Amino acid sequence: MEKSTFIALLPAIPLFSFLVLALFGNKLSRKATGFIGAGSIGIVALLTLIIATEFFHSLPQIKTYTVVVWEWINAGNLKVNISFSLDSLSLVFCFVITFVGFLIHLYSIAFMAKDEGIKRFFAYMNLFVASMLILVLADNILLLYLGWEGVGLCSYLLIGFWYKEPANGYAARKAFIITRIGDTAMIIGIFILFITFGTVNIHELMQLASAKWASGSSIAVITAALLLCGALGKSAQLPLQTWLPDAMAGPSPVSALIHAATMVTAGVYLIARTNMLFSLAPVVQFAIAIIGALTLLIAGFSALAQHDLKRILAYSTISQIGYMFLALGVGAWSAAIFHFMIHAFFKALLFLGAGVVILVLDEEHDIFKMGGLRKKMPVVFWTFLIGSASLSALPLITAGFYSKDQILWFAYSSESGSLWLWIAGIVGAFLTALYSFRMIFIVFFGESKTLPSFNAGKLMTVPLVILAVLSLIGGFVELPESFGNFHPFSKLIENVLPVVLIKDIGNLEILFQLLSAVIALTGVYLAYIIYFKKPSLSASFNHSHLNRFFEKGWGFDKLYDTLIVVPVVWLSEIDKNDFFDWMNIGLSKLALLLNSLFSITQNGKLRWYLMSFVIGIAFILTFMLYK
Amino acid sequence: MTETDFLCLTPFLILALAPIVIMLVISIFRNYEIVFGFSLLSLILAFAALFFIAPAIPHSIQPLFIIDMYSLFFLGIIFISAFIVALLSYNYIKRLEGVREEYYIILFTSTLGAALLAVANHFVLFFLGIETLSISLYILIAFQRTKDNSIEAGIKYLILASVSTAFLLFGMGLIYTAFGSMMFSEIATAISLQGPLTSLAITGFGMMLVGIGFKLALVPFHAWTPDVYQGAPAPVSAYIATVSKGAVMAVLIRFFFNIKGFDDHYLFIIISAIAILSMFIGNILAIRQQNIKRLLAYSSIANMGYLIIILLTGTNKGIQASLFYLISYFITTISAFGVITLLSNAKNEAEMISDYKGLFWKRPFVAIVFTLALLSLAGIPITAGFIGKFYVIFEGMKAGLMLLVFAMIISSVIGLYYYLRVITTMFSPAGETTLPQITFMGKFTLAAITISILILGIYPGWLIDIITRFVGL
Amino acid sequence: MSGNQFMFYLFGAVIVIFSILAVTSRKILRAAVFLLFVLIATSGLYFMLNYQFLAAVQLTLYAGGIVVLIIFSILLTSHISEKFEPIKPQKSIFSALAAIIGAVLCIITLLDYNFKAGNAIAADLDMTVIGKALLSYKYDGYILPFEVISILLLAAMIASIVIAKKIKK
Repeated sequence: MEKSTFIALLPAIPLFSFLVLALFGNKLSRKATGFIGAGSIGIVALLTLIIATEFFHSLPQIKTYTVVVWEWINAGNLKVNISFSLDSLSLVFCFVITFVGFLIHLYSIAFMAKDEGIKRFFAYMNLFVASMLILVLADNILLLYLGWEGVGLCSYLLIGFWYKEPANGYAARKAFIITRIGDTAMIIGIFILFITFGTVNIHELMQLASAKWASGSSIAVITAALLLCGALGKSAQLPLQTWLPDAMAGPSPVSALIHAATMVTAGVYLIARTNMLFSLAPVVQFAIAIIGALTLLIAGFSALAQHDLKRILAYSTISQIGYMFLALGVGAWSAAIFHFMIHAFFKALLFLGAGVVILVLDEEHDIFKMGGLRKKMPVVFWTFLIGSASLSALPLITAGFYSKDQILWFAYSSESGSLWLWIAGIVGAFLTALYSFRMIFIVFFGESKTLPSFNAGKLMTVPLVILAVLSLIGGFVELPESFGNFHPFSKLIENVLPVVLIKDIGNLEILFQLLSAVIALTGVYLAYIIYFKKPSLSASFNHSHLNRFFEKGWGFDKLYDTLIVVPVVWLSEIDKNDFFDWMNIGLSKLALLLNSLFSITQNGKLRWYLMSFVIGIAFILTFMLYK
Repeated sequence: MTETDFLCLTPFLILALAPIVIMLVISIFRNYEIVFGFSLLSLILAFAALFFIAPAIPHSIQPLFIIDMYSLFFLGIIFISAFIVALLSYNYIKRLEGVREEYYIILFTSTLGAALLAVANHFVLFFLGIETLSISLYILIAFQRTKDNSIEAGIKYLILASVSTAFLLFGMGLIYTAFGSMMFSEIATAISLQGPLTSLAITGFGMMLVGIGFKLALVPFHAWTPDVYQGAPAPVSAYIATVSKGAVMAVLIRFFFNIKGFDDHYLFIIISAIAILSMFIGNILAIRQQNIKRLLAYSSIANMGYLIIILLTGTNKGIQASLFYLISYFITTISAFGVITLLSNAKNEAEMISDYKGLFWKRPFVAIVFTLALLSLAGIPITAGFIGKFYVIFEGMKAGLMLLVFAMIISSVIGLYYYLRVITTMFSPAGETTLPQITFMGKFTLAAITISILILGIYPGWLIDIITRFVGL
Repeated sequence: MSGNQFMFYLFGAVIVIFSILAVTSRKILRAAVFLLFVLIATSGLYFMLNYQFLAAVQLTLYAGGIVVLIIFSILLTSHISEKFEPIKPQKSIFSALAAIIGAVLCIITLLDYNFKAGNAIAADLDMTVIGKALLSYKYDGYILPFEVISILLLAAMIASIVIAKKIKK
């Protein structure tokens, strides 16, 4: 068998196990469920490894594998195949989806062990992995959209996983509806592309777009902006970021897999995949950078004010994706993908760690009711510390340093970069260090307030340790020019994505790195002072209006409520009885009325039936004879 | 008579011989299983015989019979449907008190009547076919004679069918008076020679409409349908809804297209009115119906309303659409009544919607079969019913029958309501009723029918190809 | 008025009057007897048309066989003195209306039709010709419908046996 056909197996295997779990779930034991659920992802991870070795062997000759599974739609000039293609960009995403996904699935076996919905959980999770793989492997934009909506659906199902709590259902709907706003814009963009170029193949589309559309032409700008809207919704960027903190209502492995490592970065993937289109619309691309910078700041401040452990991480995710958008915006494509990968490691780690903490403390989310857990759960503490260090980009030893530092450097030095973007990034980095270690100091140090009810088993801690190792050494695949100058990762990515263009400003990189290292360390030290040494300092701040403003996510929810939800509800309220409703209600009323009228004729009496014969024939003959 | 004549008559001979053989067997040794097995075998033989006569057609045995591809096609679906009905009847009839083997004798005579209609080219055969079918149906309907409902339904059908036959016969007589022939083709020639229809001919056609409208349950000759469907044994209801209506439809299409009835402006208006009334009255009456058999009866009224739109297209493509629609309607209806048959036990007929409460949780397989059947009746995509409806609408629009097509779409929307109501009942929390176990044979039959509903819904091309080959003249 | 015409109107009057009596009579046995007169008068019409065979069949089968059968079954199943419920006026109004409309339509249709006297000589249809045509298997033979009728009768017979047979407990 050709190795390239394995590509089709990647989404097929989890899809199959989803079907098995969904159809025969109630005949399977809990053990078998976990085995199938996690095992299928394990197999997919292995397959990815096989494909990756094949891929690296053939480098640098073959850049893309394509496999056509079957013809999906063939209507007029719309021809869509179910076909997958794999290049280095998809490979990185597949790697993260399958490996991090596998670790999270393993962890979930223990995490969900006592939950009655375990079958449903694994079925949804497998469906998610399948959809996500379809998304990143799709070679046409329609199939990509199928995966895109598939992951959205799974996200909805899993946020509302514990559906008996109405608030969870609300959070799920919110996530679904807000991302839908972006999706609608995106599908319009897809239509424009299809109508203009008559194909849905992404590669062809990009070639045609760069050949036929002038740079900065309005159609290119509009299309790019529409696609960007889709990316903003999915990746929870300004102004569609409000759903992600609420999405934390789902189980922690869901937050780790969907709302940190993979799905929320689909927007990054989309923009990277269609980078040629964005290159044609410099305005939009610059807007991405601005949006990224703003988002990372706003979310950073909000993270600082949260009480709920998972909401801190949620805002942190928004903020980190903001960094990726910043990198995309300044054309540092490979830096964005690099940060995506590293972020997947440490953020999955943090969510899984938080999941353990919350689980053993009997669903306690409030960090101020935790404390002193350092001794009680050393493995979780150390891995969480590593994750936070990587998130805060502590210099040299953590992977986060290498990835974030690259973004900061390009934010200034790339052709479209500027000092302001860099300042936003560096302030964000400071905030990141501050809120990360705020978590560490409040949750793991100090006196203990709630006691763990049990110890986490091996199945939970092993994935934590593996992810912690990756969060430390994952950065060594790409070392900055200032030291090491080792670039296998960006070489790999630059097979598909353009190389970042650097302004000629001399070799200042080392200076910037020093600055950001100092800033990160300052953040950590400040967190130590405020939250550990002198908690009174933070306590006084805790009740300020500003803090509340930050905690509510800068009041975006309230703003949308007053600006959009209330007027729309008001409008639909006064429009409740409009003409069309009257028509619908009238039709059903009429049908019921006629029903009771006609029912009189169905009285079971033979003479009536005969009479209807006679009346019928009388009418027919009278009409036909005396027309 | 020539050898070819005999060859072409083989399926009919088999159908005529079978009841006599069964009768003899019963008189010597009464055994339900043997009779059942023999019946299935005979139906298979009759079906197989169709393949042998295929090379000899088109062939006509003057003046009554015409055996062409079109009749062959109808014979095929009549035999298959009768076969499936016989299969589904096995348990249902077995548990009845009193005589049971005779059921299969009557099933054969009625199938013979239906088959004759498919080859009729002459009023005599038309009338004899309808009568053979009707007389057999009286008794099939009243077969559960210990039940008042059943007897009542039988008597109602007997009286109403006699009246309708009287009209039919009178109509035929008048037409014979007007044109001097009873052969379809000769009548057609006479019409084209004489010019506009005389009042005698018009009255004749109008009266024939009563007889045909009764058999097809078209408004205003529809009132018997719910009572008879309800009282008759469930497999017999399936038989009436499919074989009986299909056979009458076969002769109607042949006659109507022979005489080019669609060209007569007033006949056109009358049939349009009947079609629209049937669609709306059928669907509206079903809205609040609590009895599934009655509900399906109303649904069949509406479905026949959709189907006769095709008469007015006057094109060969229209006939093809009607054949597709008939097949999808056949399998869907048999599947729905099959579920009712299999879920009924000796004491209790599973005919109320409330009996199906929570069916999905107790018998997921049957519930899915029933759901698909109802969705197909409602015309939801990926089912055969959708393609059938689509095909009819498509041909109707091509022929410019906008009003009819519009009425069909609106009334389909109304129809959706009651189909979905049954479906939601099946998926609601389980009720108290106990349901009988379903035999393997029943499950197998249902599965086969359901798969064919899906296949026709997803990949209708092959059937359309076959139909085109049969009537693509 | 010739004798022929007189006979025609006589038979016609008998048919109409006794038909009305048959459906309006409240005693079932009387209704059956009225029906008998209708059938006999009809056979008279056939005789006038020189359809001796049809007239004979009409007499023996309908008048002789079926009506006698009806009378027998009435005598076996109900009392002679039994009377039907009087029909409610509103019901009879509807029926009368339907009957009148039907009659009017028929009359108008018939009057409207341009009946032409044919110049063909009435064929000499004696029993042998009819019998041979019915049983002929050659062109224009009616053996096949004849056989179908036998199956039809078989079905009717079995049907009545099935419905009448006692259920063994």
